[in-house]
Amino acid sequence: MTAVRQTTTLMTAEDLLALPDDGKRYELVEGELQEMPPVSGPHGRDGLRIGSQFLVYAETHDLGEAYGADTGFILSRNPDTVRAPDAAFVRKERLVEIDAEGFLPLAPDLAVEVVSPSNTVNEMSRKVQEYLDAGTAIVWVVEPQRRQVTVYTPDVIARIYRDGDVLDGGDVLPGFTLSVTYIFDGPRATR
Amino acid sequence: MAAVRQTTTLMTAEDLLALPDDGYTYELVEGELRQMPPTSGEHSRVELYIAFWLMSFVYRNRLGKVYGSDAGFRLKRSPDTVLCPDTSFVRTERVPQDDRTGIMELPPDLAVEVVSPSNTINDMDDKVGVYLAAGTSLVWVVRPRHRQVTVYTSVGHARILGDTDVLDGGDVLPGFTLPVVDVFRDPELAG
Repeated sequence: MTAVRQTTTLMTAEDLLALPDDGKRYELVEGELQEMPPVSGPHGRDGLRIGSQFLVYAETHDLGEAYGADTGFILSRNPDTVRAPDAAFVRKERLVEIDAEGFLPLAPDLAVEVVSPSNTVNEMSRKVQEYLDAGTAIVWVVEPQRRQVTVYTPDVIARIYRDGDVLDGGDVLPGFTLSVTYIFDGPRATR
Repeated sequence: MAAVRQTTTLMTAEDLLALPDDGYTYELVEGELRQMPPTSGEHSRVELYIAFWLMSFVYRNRLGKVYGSDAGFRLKRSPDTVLCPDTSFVRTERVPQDDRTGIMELPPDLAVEVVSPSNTINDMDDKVGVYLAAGTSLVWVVRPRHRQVTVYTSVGHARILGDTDVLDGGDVLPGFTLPVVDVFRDPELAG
C-alpha cells in the first residue's frame, strides 16, 4: 500500500483550479481528487435557503460575504485539502487581502454541510474536523431526513437543533437567527 | 415507492425471535428487518475493550449487568424497533427478573455504538434518537477511525471527546472513568 501511495501524484489546489470544466464538482482531500455527485432537490434547496439567508443578512449589515455550494476553500496545504461546503460565510475583516481569482485561501468562518443519505459517519466527522482544525468557528451539519441541524464549535460541544428551535450566528454573524423549520419547509413554515 | 411500502409486512419483536438462527444478528427498525454484517476486527476489539472496563467497574461495585453486542432491546412498539447496541449496561433495579428468554423490554441505561465505515449519518443519528427517546440516559458513539467518542445525554446535546479526554459514567455509573485512549488500545497497555 505504501509503495502505491508514493507513486500517486498528489494534486494541489492550483491543479484543481486548472482542470478543464467537465461539468462536475470536485473536492481535494489531502491531495486526492474526490468527485461530488449532483445533490438531490431537497438537499440543494435546503442549502440554498441557508446560503440566501446568510447573503441577505451579511449584505444588509455589511458583515462579510456569503458563498454558495460550488465555492472552494483551501483548508490545508501540503497535501492540499479544498472543500466546497453547501453554504458558507466569511467575515469581511478576513477578506481584505484576498486574491479575487481562485479558491479562497482560508477556512470559512461558518460552514454548512447538508447530509446526503449516502454520507457515512466517518466522512462527515472528517469534514467537520477539517473545518474546525482550519479555523472555522461554527459548522452546521444539516440532516434533512431527520429534520435536525447539529452545530459544531471548537469547544467540542455539539448542539442539536430541531423543529421549533432557532439557530443563531454566534460571534460570527451577531444577531442572525434562522428557524430550523424554515430550512426544511420554507415559507410554508410560517403560514 | 409508497405502494411497495404498504405491501411490506412489518415484523414484530416476536417475529424476530421466532426466526431460525442463521448465524446473523438482526435488528428491527420500525418493523423492518436489518441484518447486521460481521464487523471488522478493530470494531470487535473496541466494543470488548469498553465492555471489559465497564464489567470491571460494574461487577466490583455490584451495580447491574453488562451486555454484549447481540442482546436485543425493544425500544419501541407498533411498529417495533429492536436494537442491539455493541455494549450496554442496565442498572440492577432495572435488570429484568428473567433475561434468559426473549428480547429485553426496556432501554439500556447506557448504550454504546461503535461506528463501522459503512454506517451512514442518518442511520447512526436515528439510532441515537431512538435510544434517547426510549429513556436511555447515556449513549456513547465510538469512532475508531477518528479516535473519538461522542457522548449523548439528552436530545439536544452532545459532547465530543478525543485522545486527551476522559469518558465518565455520569449519573448512570457514578465514579466510572475511562480515558479515551484506553477505548482504542489493549487493556494491558492502559496507564
